[in-house]
Amino acid sequence: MAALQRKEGNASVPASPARAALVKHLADFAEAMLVDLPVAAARRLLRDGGELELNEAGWKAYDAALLITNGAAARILSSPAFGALAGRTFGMAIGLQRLNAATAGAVFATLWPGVGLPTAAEIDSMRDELRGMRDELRAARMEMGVRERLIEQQLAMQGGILTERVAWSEPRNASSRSVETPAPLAGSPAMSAMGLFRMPAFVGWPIPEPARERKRNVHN
Amino acid sequence: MSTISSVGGYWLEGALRTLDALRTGFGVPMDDPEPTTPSRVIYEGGKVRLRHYASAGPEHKTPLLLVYSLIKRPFILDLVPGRSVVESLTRQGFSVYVIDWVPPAPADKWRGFDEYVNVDLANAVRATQIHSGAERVSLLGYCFGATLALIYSALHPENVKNLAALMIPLDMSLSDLPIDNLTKHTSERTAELIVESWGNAPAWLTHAFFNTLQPVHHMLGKFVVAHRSASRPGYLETFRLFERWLHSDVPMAGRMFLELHRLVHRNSLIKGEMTLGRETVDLRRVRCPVLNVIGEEDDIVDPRSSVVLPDLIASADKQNVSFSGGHMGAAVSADAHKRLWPQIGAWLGNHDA
Repeated sequence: MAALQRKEGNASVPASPARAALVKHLADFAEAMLVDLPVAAARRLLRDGGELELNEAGWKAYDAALLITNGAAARILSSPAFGALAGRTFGMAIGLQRLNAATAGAVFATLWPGVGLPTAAEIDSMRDELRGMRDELRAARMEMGVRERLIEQQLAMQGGILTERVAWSEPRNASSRSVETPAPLAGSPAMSAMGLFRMPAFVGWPIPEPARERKRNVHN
Repeated sequence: MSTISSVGGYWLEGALRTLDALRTGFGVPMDDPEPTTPSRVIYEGGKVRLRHYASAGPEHKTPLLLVYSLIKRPFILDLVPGRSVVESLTRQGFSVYVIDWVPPAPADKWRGFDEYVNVDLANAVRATQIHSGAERVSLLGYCFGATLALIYSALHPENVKNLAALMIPLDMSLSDLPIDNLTKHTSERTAELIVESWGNAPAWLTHAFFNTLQPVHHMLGKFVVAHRSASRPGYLETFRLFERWLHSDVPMAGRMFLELHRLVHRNSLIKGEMTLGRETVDLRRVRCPVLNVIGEEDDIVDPRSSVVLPDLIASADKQNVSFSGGHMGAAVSADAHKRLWPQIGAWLGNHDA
């Protein structure tokens, strides 16, 4: 690779001399095929040369052939005629693809219901519906789980309160019950699992006495 | 026999790679390989993820923002140790920022030049300014990324300290190379049909297009080269990573694809007829120092397409530098890392004050 060269202003960079390169590659290929390879092969047969020489001659032929093929491909791809053909073909292919998609949609949309089969749109909507139902089911399951946990929690709390009430209603024995003894709120294993230790017990909103309520209503 | 089985093995590996890329939709869900240089994402918005690579050693004042092309993943700029552009630049004392373009989703088909340049690239520059504390940044664009960087420099010259363009496609009137010839003969209606059919220009289409340009190389040549160079230390690792990059095509946003098609067909950028939003892109507004690197053996961007850059801008300090390599050689070849990148770094360093 050559060193960097500075070019002033708009000095034109020459285009690659493709024709000269092609001639050189053709000459290399001919030399490799007609001289190097036969000579190397003959030497190997006569046990005069080694495997290495034959290998080198083979690679030389390959390199030259590859360069010729690359050059030919580049020439074809650069030719305006090929460009025009490729451009038209590509445009037509994309157009046909669009037409195909549109026609298939239109034809099969009427054909499928005729033979009693669902259309793609119907299948899609069914899939969406199924997906929606699955989501609903998942949500319902989650809700059930939450409710179960809440019920367990409530039961456990009520059990705890009852135990506490029983404990307090029992005859007090100063030696058996110390101040540090934790309130027996965390008795249920479910509550332990939820980490609900020593939480204040909520027993619900106070229910007004029916008689008082009625009385108040009468006066109003 | 061992040659045939070895080449066959590499060929099969390549075929499986292509099938895998087809299955996963090319670059969209595929993961990038392990980066060579550690980075940190400092900004994410629109279709931009901005990565920052801290400099190793004494730091230059001006941060350097790398703008890569939109059609493949930018990990080619940080491929393997010793052949990483980012590593080379950070070692030369640059605080490097790389725009990691986020591949467009079907919903992004409305994005065109205006969104990519005036929103995403502008935001990346702003984020770089804020993060580095510098008032202006140096831009380094590669291939189509260089075109985007040039357009940005013309529209927002106040933010650009220096511009380095590598393999920039500019003069679209040329049609000697297969890529130009095939692009020229793709009609506007075909481009519209592509966008109507898929929303964005699909990644597989880009992949197939670029493979068509060198059919023998992609079908056979590269696998034979892999076999013959397998004994060179690190060659196969680099070959496989490079192949992975070759399969990292990403879709191009539908509107961008159409606008790019029009740009190529009308050659509107160098004619001064390209408009973004309501503003015409006037390249004469570019006044910052410009370094234009041209690949003499580039078969993707015709060297004559890039060489016109200094004539189109108003910068007093501008120069073309030709590099005897191909389109991607500048990013990964050993020679480029030995000669080109130190030279680019020196130029940027000299224009740092």
